[in-house]
Order: sequence, then structure tokens, then C-alpha cells
Amino acid sequence: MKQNVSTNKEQNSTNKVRRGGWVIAIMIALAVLIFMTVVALVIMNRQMNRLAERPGENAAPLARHYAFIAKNPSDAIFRSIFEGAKEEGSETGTIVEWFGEEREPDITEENLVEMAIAAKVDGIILEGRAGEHLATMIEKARHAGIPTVTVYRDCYGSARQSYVGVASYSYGREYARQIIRFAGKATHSALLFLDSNGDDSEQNIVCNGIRNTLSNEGNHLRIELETVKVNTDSTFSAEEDIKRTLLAIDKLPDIIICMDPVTTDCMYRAAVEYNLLDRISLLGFYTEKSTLEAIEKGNMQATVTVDFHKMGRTAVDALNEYDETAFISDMYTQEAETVNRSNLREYREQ
Amino acid sequence: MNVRQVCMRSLNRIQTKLLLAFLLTTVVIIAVNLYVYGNINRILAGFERVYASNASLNDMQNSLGRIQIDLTEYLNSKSPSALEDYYRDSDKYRGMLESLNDQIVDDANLLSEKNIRNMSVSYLEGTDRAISYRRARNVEGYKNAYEQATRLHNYILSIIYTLNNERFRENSNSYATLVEICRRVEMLDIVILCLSGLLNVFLITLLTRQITSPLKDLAGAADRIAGGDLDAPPVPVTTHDEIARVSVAFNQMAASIRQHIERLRLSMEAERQMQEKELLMETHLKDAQLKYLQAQINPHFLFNTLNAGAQLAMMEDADRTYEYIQHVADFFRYNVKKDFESVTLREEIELVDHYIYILNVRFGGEIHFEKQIDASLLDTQIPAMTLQPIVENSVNHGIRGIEREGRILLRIYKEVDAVCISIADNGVGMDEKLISQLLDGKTPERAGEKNSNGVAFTNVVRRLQLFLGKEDVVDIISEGKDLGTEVVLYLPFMGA
Repeated sequence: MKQNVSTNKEQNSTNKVRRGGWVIAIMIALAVLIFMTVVALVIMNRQMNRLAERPGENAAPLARHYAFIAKNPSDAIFRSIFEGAKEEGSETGTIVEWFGEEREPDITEENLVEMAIAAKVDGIILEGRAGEHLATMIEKARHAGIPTVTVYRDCYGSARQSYVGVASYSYGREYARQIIRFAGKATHSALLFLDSNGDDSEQNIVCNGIRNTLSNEGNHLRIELETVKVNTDSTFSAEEDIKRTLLAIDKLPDIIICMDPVTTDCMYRAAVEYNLLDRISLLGFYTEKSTLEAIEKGNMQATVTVDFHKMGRTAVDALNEYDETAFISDMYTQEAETVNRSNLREYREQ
Repeated sequence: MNVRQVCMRSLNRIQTKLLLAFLLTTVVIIAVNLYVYGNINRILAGFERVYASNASLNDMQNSLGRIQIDLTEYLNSKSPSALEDYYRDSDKYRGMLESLNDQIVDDANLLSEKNIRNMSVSYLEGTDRAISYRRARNVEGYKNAYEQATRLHNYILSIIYTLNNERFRENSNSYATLVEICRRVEMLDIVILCLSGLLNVFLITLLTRQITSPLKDLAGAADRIAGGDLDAPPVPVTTHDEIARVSVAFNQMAASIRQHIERLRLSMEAERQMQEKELLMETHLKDAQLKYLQAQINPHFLFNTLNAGAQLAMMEDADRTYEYIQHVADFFRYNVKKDFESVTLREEIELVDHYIYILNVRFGGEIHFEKQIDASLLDTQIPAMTLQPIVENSVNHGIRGIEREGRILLRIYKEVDAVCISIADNGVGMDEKLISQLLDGKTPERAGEKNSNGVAFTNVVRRLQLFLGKEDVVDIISEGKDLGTEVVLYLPFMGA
């Protein structure tokens, strides 16, 4: 009997263990089911909420909204200026928007300024240009209480609050100093490509800067400076103008000076194409990748540039200053700097 | 009986268990289906929402276009209906503008919304101005205002178009993401459905197993008992339902059968032991008698011969011879007559008296036999041929050959609840080793053994043990060499 009782107890305990195992298995299965359901719901909710919410919706509102208006949105210089402005803006609670970045071709800068006025922006950073229409629009903006700062190029005679750009004379002086650096007695002629869309008065100041510096600091040289206008509306037109000029002239100049990135790039390519690199010395503008590579290879003597990034930052600072104090300097100028083989490495590191 | 007990009892019913199984699986299936339908609805809502911003911008574009048409028509015709349309459409458009962002935030699209909103406000101001000028018949004013409004209208349309494209690109990405989510959710739902199906099967298996497992155990146990295996372990009772009650009753029934069979087996065993004992007793008695007869001549012949001798002695007036022969005849008659199992102490003492008388005649009265007997104990039952062999041992191994006078004392007395029979002599005595051998049932080799015609002491002791059904029936006491021996038999006192 005792044996039977103990056997019964053992069986009961075995049954309990077996039943416990079943219960644990069911609990695990239920837990897995609930876990999977909860995970699925959480993932789905998160994704659905992410889809439902609009980007930037929860971003903290900023203090100011500036419109950035330039003629050519693909221009590397204005890209750099815009990046600088945007960067400075993000540090000072300001959003800088490139108005007309994806605009239709028939929309002019005047239209863009009008749009900025209608959009009630807090300030306009504008690529300046001589012309009545633009000046009128700047005047309208001023009437609407919107300050305008011109960058890189000025709009003389307009109601703009300030201009942030390059001192054109120092710009010409830098070119001249580079010519003096490498030119010898055999150097007699230099050709300066001017921008047909550029402000003539500014370009004249650059020419004067070159000439004056050559006569003052390089009076041992006898170099004649000639100028030719190039249409920089597009790369194709600039290239055509340059090639036509090179083919038209009787004697190639010893030095060719380019005053904008498009002309610099086209001239360098033309020189390579016509195998002119040994016969002429090139002075370029701006520090595009291809320009720096040409300097590195010794195919270009030097390039003159300005810190355009800083220019953009300065423009935003100027508008911020006006917004805060209602006062602003009429002009902020930046000195030109030169990059040649001797300081190329240092420039790149910077 | 409180509510809890009632609940527990109803929970322990098979019907409730089955109901629970079905309810549980149904609840799981319904929950999973609700979950799946919920997911589908959420995804459908997501699909509805995905291009809502494009639809809204399209509405805005259309509304703006209508305002411009109304304005142009009014300026051309100055018709009240066109003015009414203008106000209605411009109000509607103003309402639409409320949904656009008006904050300066670092997001191109939201910034475009802000521009659209502000430019639209400027535009509506311009259109209102144009209408005012038209009402005032200021041709130059409304012309300029209209031109400016038209430019702004075009700008706004251009921005709406760009924003719409951008939103469409974003929404297309959202749509693709939604389709991907839909696929994933579909997969997940299938997995969850399969898992819940498995869980249901699992649950049903478990619950039906809980119901059928005790039934299987019960059936197995019934088969084993029906097959004669009464030692089969009891059916385990793990539940509290109807099957458990049947199992408990079955276990009780099996235990009762086992107990009954055990009692029967014990009783048969006792009966068998009794029969064995009787057979053994009979065998020993026969053995004693055989030895006795082998030692003597045919008792019947001897008895008849002695009777003839006694009659002859009486005829010759030889009284002592007559008495002697009579004693010898009675001695042998006892053997002839007492072939049954037990006799009284009185009969055994008479046999001893006859034996002593014969010995004293033979050996010239050198044995002094004394008796101290409690007469009330003389009817006590004792196996036949018990005392005479012990007395014969006292004579043969105790007092024979001693120089001093041989004495044998027979005492029968009561001690607590035992009848004690003591046969003591003043003979050579026994050492401890010999006493141990005799008490252990071994027959020792002793001098003069070959001349012994009596029944062995061990035979007497064994028969007495069998008769009384216990081992502790005899004791041998001897103080040492030449200090005599006392044999004490212990019989149970059966009452007066």
C-alpha cells in the first residue's frame, strides 16, 4: 500500500511537472504573440506618424527670413556666398532662402525682388547690377520696410542699405603684382578678358589697378594691357568668344587675365586645346577645382580670389545689424588674395 | 457554500472546461482579426492622406485662378455677379490660406508655404485695391493694381507649382513607404495569424488532453486490473471534475479488492501453517514412538507377556514381582495407548512414576525420586512422552555413576501465568557449552550415548515448541560440575 501511495505521489508530481511545462509553453507562445503584436503596432505607428508629420513642422520658429537673389543660381561664387550667408543665418536664428533658385527663365531679378517684397521677408541679399529697374525695386523694398544688401556687385545709386564686395582696385593690384612676380623683359603684352554683363565702372577700376600697379611697382617692365569683353551668360558663349578672340588676334599675348570663373575655365580649356600653355601665362579668377589643379601642374601662374563664404556671412551680419540697430555701414569690402604654386598647399589646408 | 466554492465547482466541470476552451480560442481569433482590420484601416487612412497636400495645393491653385478670372471680369464688365464671385472665391481662398505655415522655419517647403501665404495676402490686397480703384473709376490706379496683382498671381502660381511638385515627390516617397509598410504589415499579420492559429491548436490540445488524459489513465488501470494485475498503481487524480470523482471511486474499489484478497491470503497462509504444524507434530511423535519401539521389543507382545507374568506372580503370591511386572506393563501400555497428540500432566507423572519404580527395582532403589506438585495444575495439557525422556536423561547422564546418593526432584508449580515443570538432579551437572548446544537444538556426543534407548532431549524440546507455538519453552540450569542439573519446562497457564 505504501509503495502504491508513493507511486501515486510520484505520478502526481510528474503530472504537475508536465502540466507546468505546458503552462510555461503557452505563456511563452502568448508572450511571443503579444510581443510581436506590440512591436508591429509600435513600428507601424512610428512609420505612420513619420509619414503623417511634415518635415520641419516641429522645428522651432526662427527670428528672421532673408531672401537671397542672384542672377545665376549655378554660379560657384554665388553658391559660396549663399552657403556663407546660410551658415551665418543658422547661427543667428535666421533663415536665408534663395529666391528663384528654381525659377523660370523669364523671371528677372526685379521680379524676384517684387516677390520677396510680397512675401514680406525681413531682408534681401541681392547680387547688384547697374540699372534703373533694379534700383526701383530696391526702393520699393525700402518703402515696404525691407532692407536690401547687395553682394559681390553693387547697384550704384539705389536705396540699398549696404554693399558687401571686393575693393576693385586692390583686385587689379593683385593681378599686377602677380605679373610683376613672373614677368621678364620678354613679356610685352597682356590681355584682360572683361565680363560683358559686368559693371563697366567696376571693371575700369580693376584695369586701372593693374595699370597703376604695373607702372608703380613694375616700372622695369614694358607691358601693354589690352581688354576684350566676353559674354559670360553661359559657358558656351564664353568659350565661343574666347576661341574667336584667340583666332582673331595676330599675335598671342604673353599674359591672359581672366576676371571671372567662367572665363578662367573656358580660357584654360582653350589653351589646352590649342596647345598654348607653353606660350602664354594665365592668370585666373576664383579657386575652382580645375583652376587649382592647373596651378598645381604649372599650367596657370596664379588665381585671384576673395573669401566669398565670408562675404555671405558679412551680408547676413549687416542685415542683422540693421534689424537690431537700424544702422548699417554703407559698404563692407574684402581684400583680394592670390593663390599660386608657392601657397597652394597652404590654401588647400585652410 | 460560498460564491468562491460555487465558482470553483463550476470551473471543475468538464462542460465548463470545454466552454472555456472554445471561448478562449474564439477570443484569440476575434482579437487577432480586430487587430488585422485595425491595421488595414490605418493603412487605408494613410493612403487617403498621402496625396492630400497635393489635392489641397491644386484646390488652392484653382481657387486663385478663379479669383483672377473674377477680378478680370469685374474690371472689364463691372458686373455685380463677378464681384459677388470674387468675394466668395477670395473668402474661400483666405480660408485655404489658414492651413498654410506662417512661421519662419528651416524647411524649404514650409518656407514656400509662408511665402505663398504672405504673397497671397499681398495679392488680395492688390486685387481689393484694383476693385476699389475700379469703383472709383480711377483707370490708372486699377490698371497698375491689376498688373501688379497679375504678376503676383503668376508668382504665386509658380511657387504653388514648384511646391506642388516638391510635395508630389515627397508624397510619392511616402506612398512607396506606405506600400512597403503595407507589405510588411501584411507579412506580420500573416505571421501573427499563423501564430494565433497554432496557439489555438495548442490550447485546444491542452484542454482536451486535460479532459481525456485522466480517462485514458482510468481505462488503462481498468484494463490492468481486469487482466489480473491487482498491484497496478492507483489512477492519478489531478483534476477536480467528474472524471476525478470516478477515478477516486475506482481507486477505492481497487484498494478494497486488494485488501480483501490480502485478508484471504493471510487466512489461507495461517491455515496452511497450522496444517504444516500438525503434520510436523505428528511426524515428530511418530519418530519418537518409532525410536521407542525400535529400542524395545514389540510392546503388544511384551505387554501380553508381562500380563501373563503378572498373573503368574499373583498365582504364586509373589506380590512384589506382581507389582513390578504391573508397573512395567503400565509403562508399556502408556506407549501403546498414548499415540495421540496431547496428554495431561497427571498421566505424564504417572508414566514417570512407573519408570522410576522400574529403575529402582533394576538398580536396587538407588534413585531417590521426589515430587512437589501443585495438584491444581495436573490437568494441564502437554505433548505425550515429554517428562519421561527428560527424567531418563537425568538418570542416564546425571546421577548414574556418581558415588553419592542419586536424587531427582520433580516440581510442578505456577509462576505468574506459566505452569513450570522442573526436573532437577544432583548428578554430574553440565558446563555452559553443553547447555548452549542443547538449547540450540543440537544433540551433543556424550559418553555412554550408544547405550541410550530414550528419546532425544532435542526431540522433546522441538515437539514442545511446536505444541505451544513458541520458542522459549525450556531452560537448563546447572551450577557447574557435580552440582546437578535442573531442566525447567514452561507451559502456558490455561486457567482453573
